[in-house]
Amino acid sequence: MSQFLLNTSALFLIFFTASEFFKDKNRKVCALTAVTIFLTVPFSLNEAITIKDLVSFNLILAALFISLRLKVNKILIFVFIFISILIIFINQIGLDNLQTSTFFSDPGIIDTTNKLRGEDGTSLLGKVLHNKSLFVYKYLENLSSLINPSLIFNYLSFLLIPLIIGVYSLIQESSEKVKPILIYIGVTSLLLALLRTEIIYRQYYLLIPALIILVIAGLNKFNKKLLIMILISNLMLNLVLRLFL
Amino acid sequence: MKKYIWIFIFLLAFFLRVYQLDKVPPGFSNDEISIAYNAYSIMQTGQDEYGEKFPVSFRSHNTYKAPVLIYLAAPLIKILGNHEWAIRLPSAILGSITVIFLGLIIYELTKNLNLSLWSSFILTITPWHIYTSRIGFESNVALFFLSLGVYLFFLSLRVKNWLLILSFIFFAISIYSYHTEWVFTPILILLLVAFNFKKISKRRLFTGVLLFLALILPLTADVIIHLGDTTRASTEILFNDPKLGVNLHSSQNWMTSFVITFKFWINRYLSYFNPSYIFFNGLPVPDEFSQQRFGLLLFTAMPLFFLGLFALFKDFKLLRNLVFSWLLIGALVPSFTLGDVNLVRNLVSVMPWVVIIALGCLELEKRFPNVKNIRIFLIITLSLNLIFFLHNYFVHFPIESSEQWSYGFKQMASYIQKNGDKYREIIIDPNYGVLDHQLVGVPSLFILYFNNIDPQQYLLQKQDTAGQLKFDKITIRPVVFRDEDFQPGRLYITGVRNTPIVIQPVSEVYTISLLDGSRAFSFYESH
Repeated sequence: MSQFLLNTSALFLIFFTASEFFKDKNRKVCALTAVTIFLTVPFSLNEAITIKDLVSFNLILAALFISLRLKVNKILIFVFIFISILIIFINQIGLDNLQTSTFFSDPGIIDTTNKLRGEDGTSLLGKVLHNKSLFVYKYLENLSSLINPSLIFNYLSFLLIPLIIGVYSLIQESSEKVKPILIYIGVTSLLLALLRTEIIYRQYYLLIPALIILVIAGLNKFNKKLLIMILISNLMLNLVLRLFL
Repeated sequence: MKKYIWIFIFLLAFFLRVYQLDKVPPGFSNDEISIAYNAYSIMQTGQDEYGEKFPVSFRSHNTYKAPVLIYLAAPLIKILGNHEWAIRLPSAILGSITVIFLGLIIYELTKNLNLSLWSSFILTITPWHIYTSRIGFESNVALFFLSLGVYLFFLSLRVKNWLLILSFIFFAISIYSYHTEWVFTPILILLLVAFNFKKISKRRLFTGVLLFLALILPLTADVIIHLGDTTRASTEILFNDPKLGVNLHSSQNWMTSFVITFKFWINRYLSYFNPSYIFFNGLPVPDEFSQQRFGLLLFTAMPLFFLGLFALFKDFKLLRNLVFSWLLIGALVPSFTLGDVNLVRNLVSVMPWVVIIALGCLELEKRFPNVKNIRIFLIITLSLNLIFFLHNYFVHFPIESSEQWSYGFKQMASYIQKNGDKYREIIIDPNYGVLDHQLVGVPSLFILYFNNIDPQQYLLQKQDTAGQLKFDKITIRPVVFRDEDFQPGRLYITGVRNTPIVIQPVSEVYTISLLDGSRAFSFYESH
């Protein structure tokens, strides 16, 4: 019952968030498209999603919606989104598990550094190149893995194409309303990248609200036929996998 | 001034590709030694290792190899002897020239000298291209002929002469050079013609296409003859992937099977565009399991890539068509093959990635016209990243990866050459591995190549029966010590995980260690 309620509230929040973002355009169509997309993404179809995940998802959607509604300085938006996502993050992972969930706790990183330094002997170059900066490298590696098209395809299937077009069109428009979305993606990505790879993939759904907005921005560039075709093929792909497996 | 920059770029590319070429990578892979021995055999007898005269594809480890590198290496073996240099030098030289051809292609397309210089420079310092140019693999050779073909194609549009026909000859050679080009080159030709149809002389195009088809006819015939045989196309296709098999296990009908296969393929295809793989961990340097792996491209080039992508969308229409088509079809063929993402099969894609990064460099210069020395800043940043890579490549990669590069087999051949006379029979176990005895080597080819054994003699002597290969006094077969019938005068060479029981009548006479100091092979004498 509570799962049903949380899913429904997520649907409403997605509807209002998209409606707010596309208020200059065909807002109702955009909002309904957002709901349709949400219903077809594997996240909403996945039975493994827990109540805790859904609560976090609702909270994060609410944070995004409020940040779009507020007509305030973007620094305030950043602070607001950052604090909201941080709270959701800590709630999701648990304060006790926080340290073991980040890649800082990966013993392999320190072991690798020590091994490579050992092979370098007393060489100064070895000391300069192999040190704790490997953590920075791993962090950048994790950040880049968040835009792995294969990973996004697992969440959005064929909507990956309008997503790419949406990113491009929004960056070209570079209007004020894009900033909360970019801040949202930026903050969530910066926090997600701190986690171990396997946990990143589990928590990736936190980016879905922003991805859906970007997909709709891309779909707005499509003609009706193409739009219906891509939504139907997406639905079919997910339904076949859902119904027959 | 610009002429000197071109010369500098070529010399830098050449140096990065030939420095310590015989030592790094620290041995021959199974594919390389196969190419080496076949080149040696062709040079000596005109036959491959199975006795076929001047074949158009070389049978090797139950697959077929492209012939061009083998025929290129054969004369070098005559000059340099049976050495690592002879096999790797053609790839290194052609790789260095490819760097220049990329610049020339970009110049023909854009007439922008800065962009063409940036493209050549970025390819020069790209770990992906350095890595593959330093190995005797066919993909790098194919990339050279492909770039040459593309350059001549664009040059012919400007000069309007017989160069178009020549370009089709090089396209055909690229098809003979590596399997990826079987599909990639024809699609690229179609796109090049489609994008430039109005500018092409139709008569020359017709002649070029006819010549192209005539040239690839022997290869097509060879593929048809070996169809259903142990060709790469049939054994290494995506549908045989065990991971896909696991996914299909739960499938209930043809529709789900189709959707699962389609999703599996799309995932594989998209993995070739994973920024994490491209910029951070795609290259097995220092080794494929290390936490400190390198990307196929320098990681400092990632922001430049995104900047270049936007520049490409804005301007450069001609270049955009070519770059995007190349990028999208480049990953197509490797995505249909068995196994995880493969940097060698996907090497053709290095070109568009590099060009987009070069565009990023140019865009950065454009956006900050008032910032002095932005170019120097870029060069220094990329060079520091390159030094980081080179340090790992030349210092740590040989130590960490010597086992994956069959280190020890050449040393084994050398021991047999010096001490072989002492034994009546030498039995070598092809299975090895410091940790789990799961790797399979081809010691026979190392012995034949490095000990200069006459290929004709080998063909006459060899007995290739189920599970074992015999020639001269050497037998290659799995060794199970508890079942062995020990006879005096035998030498057993096994991986370090395969050891005799203490009471058995053998004694260890020699060992070979990997470059990280761990023991890899043991030599046991029976008495």
